[in-house]
Amino acid sequence: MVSFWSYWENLNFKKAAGKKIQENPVKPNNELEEAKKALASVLQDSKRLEEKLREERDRANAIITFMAEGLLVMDRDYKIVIINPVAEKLLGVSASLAIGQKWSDFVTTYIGEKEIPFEERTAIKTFQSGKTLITTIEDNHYYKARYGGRKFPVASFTSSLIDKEGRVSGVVKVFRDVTHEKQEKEIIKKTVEERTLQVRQEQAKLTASIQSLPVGFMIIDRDENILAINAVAKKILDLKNEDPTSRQICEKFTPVLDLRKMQEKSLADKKALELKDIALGKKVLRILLSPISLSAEEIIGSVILFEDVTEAKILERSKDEFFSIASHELRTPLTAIRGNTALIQQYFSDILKDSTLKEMILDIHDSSIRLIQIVNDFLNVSRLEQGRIEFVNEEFDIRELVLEVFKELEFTAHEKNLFLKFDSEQRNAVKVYADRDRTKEVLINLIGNSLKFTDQGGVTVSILPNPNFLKIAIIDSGRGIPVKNQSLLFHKFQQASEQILTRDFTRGTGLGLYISKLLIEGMEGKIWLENTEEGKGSTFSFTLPLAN
Amino acid sequence: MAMTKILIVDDDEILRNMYKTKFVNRGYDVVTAENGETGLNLALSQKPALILLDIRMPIMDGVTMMEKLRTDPWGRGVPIIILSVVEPVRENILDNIAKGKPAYYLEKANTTPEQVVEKAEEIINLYKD
Repeated sequence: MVSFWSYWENLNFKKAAGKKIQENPVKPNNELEEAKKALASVLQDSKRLEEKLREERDRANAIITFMAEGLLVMDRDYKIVIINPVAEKLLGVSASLAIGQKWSDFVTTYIGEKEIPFEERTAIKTFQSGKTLITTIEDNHYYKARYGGRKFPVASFTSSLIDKEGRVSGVVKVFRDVTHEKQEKEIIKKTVEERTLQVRQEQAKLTASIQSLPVGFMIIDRDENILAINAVAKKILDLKNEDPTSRQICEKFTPVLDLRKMQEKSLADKKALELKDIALGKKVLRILLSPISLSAEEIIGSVILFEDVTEAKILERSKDEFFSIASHELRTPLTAIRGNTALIQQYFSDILKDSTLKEMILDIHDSSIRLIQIVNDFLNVSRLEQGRIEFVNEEFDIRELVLEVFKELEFTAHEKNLFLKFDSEQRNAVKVYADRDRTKEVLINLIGNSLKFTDQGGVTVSILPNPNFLKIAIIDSGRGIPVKNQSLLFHKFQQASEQILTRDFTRGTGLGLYISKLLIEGMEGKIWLENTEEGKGSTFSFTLPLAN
Repeated sequence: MAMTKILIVDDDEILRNMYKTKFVNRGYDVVTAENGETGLNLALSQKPALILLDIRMPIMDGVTMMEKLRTDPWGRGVPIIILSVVEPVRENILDNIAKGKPAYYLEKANTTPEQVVEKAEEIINLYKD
């Protein structure tokens, strides 16, 4: 390899040194010593300079030799004058073969597959313009040495060499094999493509699921742009156009509902919001607004679900209608049976000589009363469950009411030879704030139950005023409730008899305690089984608010 | 002394007859109608001392009949017992109409004919001149 500096020396230094010597001509004898001294000084200077230059040259040589990039220097005929080991290796040639060859004859350059014409080559352009040219991996340049060696992608730096006169005397080219980078880039590109495909597929799946949801689905961002909306939503909202705006959707609900305001509320509270029974034309909708959050702080928008509940509403209405019909159509004939059997007993008792016939009419009468009671229970449960019973709360004396109930149940108690006892230390009125008729219903039910399940002893009612409420306890000496049945109390259609599946001989709809519970809770009270022991009796308690 | 006249308006023939039997047996003069329209006409022409009125009836319901009756100078003061099995929603309507007027509500299914007569006599005595 011919080093860069040996070439450089030829170009500049030797010429300069020669000139310097010529500018100091040898003087005659007397001046000979002077001249000798001067020459020695010059020679010494020159030697020092040469030494310094060599140092510089060695350093530059080392840099060129060990640099990671390939380096070439061409003269003004584009002939290679310097080539470093990396360039030798990359181009697959030895320096001895490369030096003196024209760069353009020696290496073909490409952009991609296309060969670069002579005048377009960077070295030529640099030489002509004197400008530095840089090609990167993106430019897609390739080198291929004519005498073998592979074609490889390059990134290059091409700069001109300027001589003393300021003319371009040559070109320096530094280049690097970017095969690995290109491969990496390809891999990245491929990965990105794959990921994009995956994302697209996921997106397609999501879109398909959203589209096939049986409810209307919509995603709206904070700026009220609709990010997604499915066909069901468009159908429910009766939207004809492809891409509805949030404004159009909001207008659909005006003036029934301010959807935007609701969305803002849901976003502000960071909570899902359910809107029931929203009328949209002839439809009834259920709307669910839920904020979409990426993190606890960052909320990006809302999901809005629309459900058409029109049919369910119609069903619900027809259920109500059914109960109304049941109430009227069942009770009217029952009233007739009950009333007429009562009239027969009253007006024709002297005609009814036969005791069996009398008993049969009595049975019809009693059965009609029981049937009416069952229908009443069913209707009451239905009304209570639907919140359709209004409580007319007022102040009244609970002591008085208990005694009134005792009077009504006196006959039943007397028949079974049981006592009814009111255990209260209160001598004055104890005023509660509740619905008197409903409270009476509960008392009749609880005391009636106790009488039903008690064969010996009787039923005691005690009242216990607390600061804010009154506790009423109904204590019986009956058969008690087995542990396994206690959890069934206060449930629909449950009686806490020993055999769950066997009908209790006491008869009833099994709705009594359930109704009592609904009634007491409707009056802000509580009801529970306080205590029970098999064979010894039970205590049921409930509370009611005290009147101020 | 002329018998006290009672008007029974109910679309159910059996119930109509049942209440009629009860009231006739108690010594009342009973006229009956099977809907609100004939009930209204009979009420205005016969001027009974008391009206037993059902709510759900064809042609004209009990509420409408009562409303119309209350616009008449005589009809405004006649005591009415509403005998029905209607839903509580309707009960509220009745409460409003009945407010301050001589009208009472009895739940048909939970009342015996005897109780109806007792209530009727109590009211008639209350409104006797």
